[in-house]
Amino acid sequence: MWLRALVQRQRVETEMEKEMRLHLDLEIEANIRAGLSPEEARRAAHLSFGGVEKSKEEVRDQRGTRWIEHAFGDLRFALRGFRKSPGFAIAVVLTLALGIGANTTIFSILNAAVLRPLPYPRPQQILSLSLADEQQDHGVVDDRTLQGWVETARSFASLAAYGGRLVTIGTSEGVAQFRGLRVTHGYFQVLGVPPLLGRVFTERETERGAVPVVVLSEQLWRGTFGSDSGLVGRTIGLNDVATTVIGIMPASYTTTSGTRLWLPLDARPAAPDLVNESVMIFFYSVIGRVRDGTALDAARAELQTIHQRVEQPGGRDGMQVVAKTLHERRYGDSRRPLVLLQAAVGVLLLIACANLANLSLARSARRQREFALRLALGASRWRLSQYVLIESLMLSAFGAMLGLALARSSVRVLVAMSPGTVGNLENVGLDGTVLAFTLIVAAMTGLFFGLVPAIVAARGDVNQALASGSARASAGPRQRLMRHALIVGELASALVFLTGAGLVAKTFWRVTSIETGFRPENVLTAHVRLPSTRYSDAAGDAFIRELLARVRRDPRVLSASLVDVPPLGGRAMTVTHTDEIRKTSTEFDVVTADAGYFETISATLIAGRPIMESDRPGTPRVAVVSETLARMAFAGEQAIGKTLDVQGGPLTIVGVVRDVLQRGLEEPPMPTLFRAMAQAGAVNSADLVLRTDGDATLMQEPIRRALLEMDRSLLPPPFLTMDQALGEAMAPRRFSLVVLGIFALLAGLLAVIGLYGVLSYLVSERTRELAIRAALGADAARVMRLVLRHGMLLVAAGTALGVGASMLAVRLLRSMVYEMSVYDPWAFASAAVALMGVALLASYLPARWASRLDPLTALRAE
Amino acid sequence: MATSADVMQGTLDLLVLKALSLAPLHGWGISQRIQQLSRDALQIGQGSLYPALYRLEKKGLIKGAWATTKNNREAKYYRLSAAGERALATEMKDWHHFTSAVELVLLAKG
Repeated sequence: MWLRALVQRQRVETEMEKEMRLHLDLEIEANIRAGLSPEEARRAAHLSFGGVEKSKEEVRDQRGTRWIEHAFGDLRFALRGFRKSPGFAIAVVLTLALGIGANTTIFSILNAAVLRPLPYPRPQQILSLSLADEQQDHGVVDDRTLQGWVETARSFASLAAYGGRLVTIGTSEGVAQFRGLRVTHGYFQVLGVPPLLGRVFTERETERGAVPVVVLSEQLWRGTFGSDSGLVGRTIGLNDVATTVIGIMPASYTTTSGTRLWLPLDARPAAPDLVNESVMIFFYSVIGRVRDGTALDAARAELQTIHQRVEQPGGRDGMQVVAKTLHERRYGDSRRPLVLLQAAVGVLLLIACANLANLSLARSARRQREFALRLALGASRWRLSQYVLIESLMLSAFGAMLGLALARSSVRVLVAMSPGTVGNLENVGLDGTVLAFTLIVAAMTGLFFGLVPAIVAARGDVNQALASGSARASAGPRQRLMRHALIVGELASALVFLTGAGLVAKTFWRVTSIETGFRPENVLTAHVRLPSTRYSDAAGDAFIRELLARVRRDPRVLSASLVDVPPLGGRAMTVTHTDEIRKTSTEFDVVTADAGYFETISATLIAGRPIMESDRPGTPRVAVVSETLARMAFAGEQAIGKTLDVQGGPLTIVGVVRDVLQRGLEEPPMPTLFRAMAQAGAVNSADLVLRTDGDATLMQEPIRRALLEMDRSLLPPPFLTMDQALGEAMAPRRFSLVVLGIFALLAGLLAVIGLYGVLSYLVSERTRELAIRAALGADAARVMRLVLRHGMLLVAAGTALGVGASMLAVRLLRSMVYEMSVYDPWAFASAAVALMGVALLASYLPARWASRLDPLTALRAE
Repeated sequence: MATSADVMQGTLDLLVLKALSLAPLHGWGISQRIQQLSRDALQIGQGSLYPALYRLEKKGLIKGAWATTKNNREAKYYRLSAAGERALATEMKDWHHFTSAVELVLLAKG
């Protein structure tokens, strides 16, 4: 309604003009007819009409679109004001851009990872299923239970199993490694997304021994194969096996992060191996789509019943079936940290708002005379408030635009930096939801920091402000209290962030100084895996040893060896040792290493001897154990000379080394046993480990060449330096440190700027008083103390509040960071001291300024 | 006597509606008609007339349309809408009710 009126405004204006002119003309003519001279007639008509403009104004008031017209006027007026003194506007827009940008960044990740439903039809019907015992949810299901479910469960329309696998693809341009997923034929039915091109697996294709087929992702198809439309039906080399491409899945269909292709999987239990009298059990991730109208609880109960009927080899007890929605399984863990992060940036924005409200209050106090004049001239208080609000909304709109641009680039940086623990970040972006969020945040921000000054503007006392005669009237006590409360709040929240950052920094420092048990510098690993189609285990073993010999010949290589799982390489084989006499059992990792391994990674031998070339098949089987294993298995007794049972018989312990971190930095070192590779049986894959006298990456090219000289059809191995491995292991912590550090820096900066602003304003407000004091003989130091005391009172209040708030906040933070102590007096104290130091500096500048006031100049200026 | 400024808003609306119930008029014509009907006792100031006209038009009680006068000039002529006629009837009834009540009070004796 008023929108139309607004559009028609121009037409209405001209009509009104015409109508009133006619009225005047007719009046003049009537006057002339009544006998007046034309001059007099015109004068009389004008007199009786009253002011034409005033009439127009009154007519306009009838139209009900006034506030919009005012708004446009205010916008123009505010813009002009900002152009004249851009300092305030720039400060506000930049502060808001930072605050809103940070919020939009985090929200776009939260949105992609937690809020957005999975990109499948009716996603709430897709359940992720697993088995759990008293201790933990294993996340997987054994093949026998799975078979029982697939054959008898009626609450599910389809069930499927899957497991990850790395796949190497060779193309004309070289080779590349991609994350693949092996899936049973029901997998695509469960998710319910049709392929972009071609088709998905049939039941026959997923059976063992079927012709190899693969389904590629759109990303892979577009990236590596240049959107070749003839690719479906063609054969490509996957892990050295000729495989037919049967379909392409659309890019929107993303499963776990980074999956680029799907291979068939037969998850049916393997037939028992009668020769070795052993039973192999495989475990898979399982998803299922429940039938329409089936409750989650009923579906879970049915699976539980079936699971208990299935005979468990090895007589294990039945476990509990866990059924979660797939969304919960994928993002359940990242929800909490992300929500916390969002809350943190929210607080940051609040600090920014408090700052701006403060700035704006100081500014409106300076404009009180202008406002009083407008009130005296008949502007309504509502109009003044409207004007102040429009100013702040306009600034926040500019801030939001700049913030969006900021968010666009920072999302990219954050995703690149994130350690991959935050679910699937491939589809993070600024979509409609994110834009709407930003819009709402901007509007709320504008209202929030504009409301207080708007209310103050509306309350302004005309007479007091005009009578005080000064262009800058002093702020009333209410304003002053409000400003002080805002500053105390700001300082408190800055302290919370500082404390948090301090605590994380401390744990980070603790981790970087952690005893890893090896020296990472100048160590390179190359993972060599030979295709089993062409290399038997024995042939592979010989090949790898020949490669090792060639590498050792390079003068840059100080030492080289072989190992199955390098340090920080993750889980190795786990074996349980039971002490029959003491009735204890010890679980330990078994790492298979060749002669020279400890020397190469610079592990410290504590006792005995390392694995040597002389430990060959036929000689006594030996092992070196880690310090922790020696302590746990033999309870302080001398370990050397004792034996431990590992697959196929006892190993005699010949040496003890310091713990080497195998699984990562976030876990205490596992007890580990190192056995001699030459005595463990031939395998056709191993990690080549070498220490060089300089940059280890320089050895990549010679190794690649040596490999190709020995077999032209081989793919180059993936390389990793130990420094890189350490960096990756540290990534999650570095990520939290960087994020928190940025927050702490921003929050601290904002609070200090706010404090500086308030104190400078205070000084300028009290110039007259300070000048009089100085004129009456107060010396500079005294004046300075006066201002400093004011600042320090605020800082003290803020610090007290902040320490209390930190104690609460740190409890929340601890759930995000492993090994963080809650009550760390060192971190609390140093954060408080740091904040107080900077705050003192922020108060010192205005205080010095005040102390140097020249009383005469100051009083004259007033 | 009431002059332009003194005519109460509600009363002005009633006068305009009444004037228009007789024939469609343009703004000046309305003020002339009221002045004439009241035998010069009521002079409607243009400052209150036009706001009243826009107000009534917005409420849908009168409708304005551009037409040519006898002297071949463009003028906006207002006429009563159906709603305006109904409003005039009720307002006249209310007015009579009100004035007779006031009269009763004013004429009351000891």
